Amino acid sequence: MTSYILPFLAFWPMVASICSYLIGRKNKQTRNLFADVVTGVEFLAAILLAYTVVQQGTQYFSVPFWGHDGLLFEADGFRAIYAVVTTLMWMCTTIFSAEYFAHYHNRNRYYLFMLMTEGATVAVFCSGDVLTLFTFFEVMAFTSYVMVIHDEKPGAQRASDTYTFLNVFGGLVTLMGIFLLYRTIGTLRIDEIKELCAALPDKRPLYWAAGLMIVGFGGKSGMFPLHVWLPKAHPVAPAPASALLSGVLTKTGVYGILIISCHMLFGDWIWGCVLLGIAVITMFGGAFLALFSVDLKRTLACSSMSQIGFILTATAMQCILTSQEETLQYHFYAQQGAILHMMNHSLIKLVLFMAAGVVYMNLHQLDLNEVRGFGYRKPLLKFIFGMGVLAIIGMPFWSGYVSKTLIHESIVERIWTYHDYEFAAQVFRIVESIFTLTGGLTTAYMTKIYICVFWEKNPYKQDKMDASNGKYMNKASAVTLTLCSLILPFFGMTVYKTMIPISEFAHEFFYMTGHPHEVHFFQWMCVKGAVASLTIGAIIYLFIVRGCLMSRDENGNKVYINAWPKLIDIEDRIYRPLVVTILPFIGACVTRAIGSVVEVIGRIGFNVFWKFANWYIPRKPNAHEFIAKSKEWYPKHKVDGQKNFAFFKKEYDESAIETWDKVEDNRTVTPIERIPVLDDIEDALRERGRKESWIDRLIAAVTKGAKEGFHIPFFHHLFDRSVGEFGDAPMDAHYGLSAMLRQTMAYALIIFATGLLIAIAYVMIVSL
Amino acid sequence: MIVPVILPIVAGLYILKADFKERAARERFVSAAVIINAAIVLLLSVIGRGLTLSLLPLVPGSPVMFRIDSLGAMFASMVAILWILCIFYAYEYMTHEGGENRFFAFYTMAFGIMMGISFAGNLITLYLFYELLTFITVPLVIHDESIQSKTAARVYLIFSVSGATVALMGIAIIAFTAGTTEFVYGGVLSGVAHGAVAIQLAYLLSFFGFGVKSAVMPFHAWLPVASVAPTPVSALLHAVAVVKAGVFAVARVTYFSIGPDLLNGTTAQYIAISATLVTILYGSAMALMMKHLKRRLAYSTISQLSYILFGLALMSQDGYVGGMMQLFGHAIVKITLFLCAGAILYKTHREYVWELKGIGRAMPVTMTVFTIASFGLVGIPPLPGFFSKWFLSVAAFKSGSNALAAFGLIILAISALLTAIYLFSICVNAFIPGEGFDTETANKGVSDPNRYMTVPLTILAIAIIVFGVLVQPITSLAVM
Repeated sequence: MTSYILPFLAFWPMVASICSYLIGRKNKQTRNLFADVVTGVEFLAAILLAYTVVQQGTQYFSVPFWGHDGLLFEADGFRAIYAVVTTLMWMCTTIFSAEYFAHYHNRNRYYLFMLMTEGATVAVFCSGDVLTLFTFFEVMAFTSYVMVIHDEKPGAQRASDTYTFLNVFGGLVTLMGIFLLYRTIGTLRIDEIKELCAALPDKRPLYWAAGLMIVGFGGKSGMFPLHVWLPKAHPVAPAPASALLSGVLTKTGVYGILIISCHMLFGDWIWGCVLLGIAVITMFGGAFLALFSVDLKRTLACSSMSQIGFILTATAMQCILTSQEETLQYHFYAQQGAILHMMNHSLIKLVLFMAAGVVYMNLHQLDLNEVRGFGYRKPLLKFIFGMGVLAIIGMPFWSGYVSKTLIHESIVERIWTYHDYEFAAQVFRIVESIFTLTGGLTTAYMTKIYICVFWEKNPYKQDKMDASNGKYMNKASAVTLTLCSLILPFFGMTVYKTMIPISEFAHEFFYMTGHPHEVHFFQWMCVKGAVASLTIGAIIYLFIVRGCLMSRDENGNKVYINAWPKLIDIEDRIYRPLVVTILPFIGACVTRAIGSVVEVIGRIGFNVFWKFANWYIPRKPNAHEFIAKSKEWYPKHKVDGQKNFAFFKKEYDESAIETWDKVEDNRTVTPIERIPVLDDIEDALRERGRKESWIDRLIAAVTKGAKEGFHIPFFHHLFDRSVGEFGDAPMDAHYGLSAMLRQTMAYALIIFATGLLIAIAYVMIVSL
Repeated sequence: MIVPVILPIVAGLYILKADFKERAARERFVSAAVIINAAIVLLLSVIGRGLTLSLLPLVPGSPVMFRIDSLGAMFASMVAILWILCIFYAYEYMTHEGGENRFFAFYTMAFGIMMGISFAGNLITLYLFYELLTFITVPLVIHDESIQSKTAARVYLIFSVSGATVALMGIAIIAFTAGTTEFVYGGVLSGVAHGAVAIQLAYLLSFFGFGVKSAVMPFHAWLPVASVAPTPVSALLHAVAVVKAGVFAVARVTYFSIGPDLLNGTTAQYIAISATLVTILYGSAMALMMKHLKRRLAYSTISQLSYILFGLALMSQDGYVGGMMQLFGHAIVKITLFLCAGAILYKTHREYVWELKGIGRAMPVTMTVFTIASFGLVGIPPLPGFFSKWFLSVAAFKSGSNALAAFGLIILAISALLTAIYLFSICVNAFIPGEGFDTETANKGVSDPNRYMTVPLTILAIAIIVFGVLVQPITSLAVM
């Protein structure tokens, strides 16, 4: 069915963003209201879309003339759910933004790009072919850049540099993967991919394509080892932007990975295992990092990474479970776990980041020791944040519990189908224990920040913390946050009425078959996993967080230690040195080497041709003589003007002096473009004490360049800047056009004659 | 159909003779000439497909001949439209350069020569106008008569004329073998064996000969040097007309004279492709190192032109389509970038990249247009650069040689990454100078230029987006 809601969802916010910009130049209040209305309308449209999908099945819309094969939008159950989640989150954060940004600069810019990002993000989720997906994925990457860098603080700039580099690099690598996919199966329509890929006899190109595509998608979703931007960007971005980045934008990456693992490589054992490995590292690594963080939003960011790890685990388990007959019947655990955990994580992070935003909005601090005790006497905020915490740690009757249980079940089922002694069974046992341990870590770090901000008193400035009681957020924000936080227990308590139907609604995208078994979420079988996690979490909190990560300061009060593990920061240890230093160095060396080769050829050519062309043009002093003279006269000319200047002028005319001035100026222009001008070469020559020739000069320059950082002279530089350095060619700056023409003709004639000789020789040889 | 060739030349000569004293009068005259001519060109391009006109026989078997086919018509229309925009831009820009009579005379004449190149019906005619183009543009390069521009003009002349001479030898071999040099899609050399040495030689000679103008390695050195010319010249000639004339000539030789089938899989093809790939990488890397804005754009041009040549050298329909897409897309994007650089130069006399920090606040229109064009050049999906890369990569994949495809693809990706770095760093610094940067002081007295400049820039920015969206139908017009 063709549905016009789809293009509306994609383009309405983009059009509205420009309107909002124009309105914002006149009136800020109206702009805020307008943005609320825009996102509200978008949310209603998404609801309408979901309703249409329920009624009429999958919806399509195509724009045939666009680009390669046209744009194709498609909405099935899964995409409709995600359109609703996305627009809901955008609506909530927009309402919250009005208060949060009240004292910010450049708000107009934020709203412009925030709305554009909304359109692009919804379009990513509603894309029907990979190229459409990629198109909006890139648009989203660049518009969200502005949201990350909004503060323009050095930290924000650094983080957003990393973010955008990862986006551009990941985008290009992904594009190569998409090419490969297109070449292999000849189409990019998502609903055709699975069958065509399954029919392929040789899966190797698909592995390559998947390996390339996951770089961009994984980078966006915060997958190890491309997670580096996530813990850096979230703390520095404004809170509403962090909520969106963490809640929705990472999910676009997950959506891409779902396309790889549920469509391209459906039921592929190898891919499932590789992805599971990465997912487990991401899951555990994120939680591990979060434990050491003393920055409120950074903890939440690391937590996002960890939760993405949970989702990827579910995705990987889905691949593994569908790869074998005997486990096929259990694959719906993993699939339902994936979709539900995606949705839950979005909603939970919305609540947590907005609550953290309330803290930041009032205190402009995020350090745990500084914000400690902020929520001590603020029951509403305490309640809101508490809902988020309970949901994310997987407390039964909250939403997170359901999805985590499903993912856990999928691993357990996989173990049960093996015999105990099998190696694979042991491996999946380890995965299960890491899963439980990570659940424990989640409990520990969430308890850490919750107790710190909401249950402990600040030993130094509790008065200041309590000063804002009752007026720390306005009505609109309070209502929004409360409603959002109430969704979490609501979903958790009405599992069979809400969450299970929602996950079944998404079955089409995941190729879910058969009837899902009843899962008894509230029986001991399931609850015991959660209890194990919570117990481990309590132990870790009591012994590690309270015991090792806190110490007494000089007044005897316990404070949190910043134990953020800098040593294992992949970005600073590996990526930055690689991208900023090593690769450019290699690239520069290669480029300069190529340039030098061309230069040598050119010099040989000019030396050879010059010997012939010389007959046509009267000789003028060559570069060397010119420089010697200029050097002699230049200082004098500066000190005692007219007389020497006149002499100089007579000898070399005004333009020559001008040249010399320009050459001098060049030396101060910029280190990177600096060329080893005449002095350097001459000094080198003098040291060598040999008669100059072009090869000597070159050697001298290279020697010097090697010492000072590879400033090998280039052909174009010679032409470009200092006419004086032009080998044996005359200083014909003052020659005029006719001489130039004659010279040109000379060259042309010589080349033509040579060519003619070759041609004649060739024809003779052929005719013989 | 000889009118669009003759009219601007006559108009240009008249400007030289009349030596206008009043700016307004000259502007009226130039606008009239250019717009009327462009209108004729567009009309001919639409209704005049297939028209043929033979004039005096220059070489036995190859008279001076004009013919309008799809490629020529599209190329001519593109040049005509961009010429109108540039001429309005130049009115304002040239006020601070002086010597406007000579400038506009030659600028207008070059228009006629370009039409000669587009509508040329055989290689000899193409060659004739190709040489004329070199000479007619020298006074434009040399415009400010400084020592740099004289050197630049000299280098430009030496390179171009030598290149054309080499190409002439290739043309001679083709004429000798085929007996005619007319353009027929698919080639005129029907009786020749695949991969004959003479044909390979002819191809390489003309590829590198005409390649000099499109700055293929190792004959790229003149282009960055020539960027000392006034911005309308750098923009129109060194991003669109002159360099694209080289590409256009290569396309004519490859696809309309020799024929891609004869060359597919030969050593000559591999040599040509290697040269273009090296150039792509080299140009991007050098652009990254340049801190001078116009020179950075010039190196970027070197790199981007080789994308087109890469497509053409793939010797397939897809490669041709990808190349043409890149030809039109790059023309419109690069001219925009150059005009923005010119606007900055005109208003602030800032030439170096680090001087542009925070300038986006003072020149929002210019820098927004610059940003859009940057996205277009890097190839962010809905914009033209993306689709040309897409088609080039698809063509590389279909070429049958896996190594070639993989290699080409990786080089395109690395080059795109470099392009992103050297362009986005400018955009980001312009709009987001960072906390604590004193934008007020840095931008004192700086504002967007007046309507003569901003209107063409805005039109171009819109055109980039429209072209990106409609790239498929537009290119299919050229490839019919």
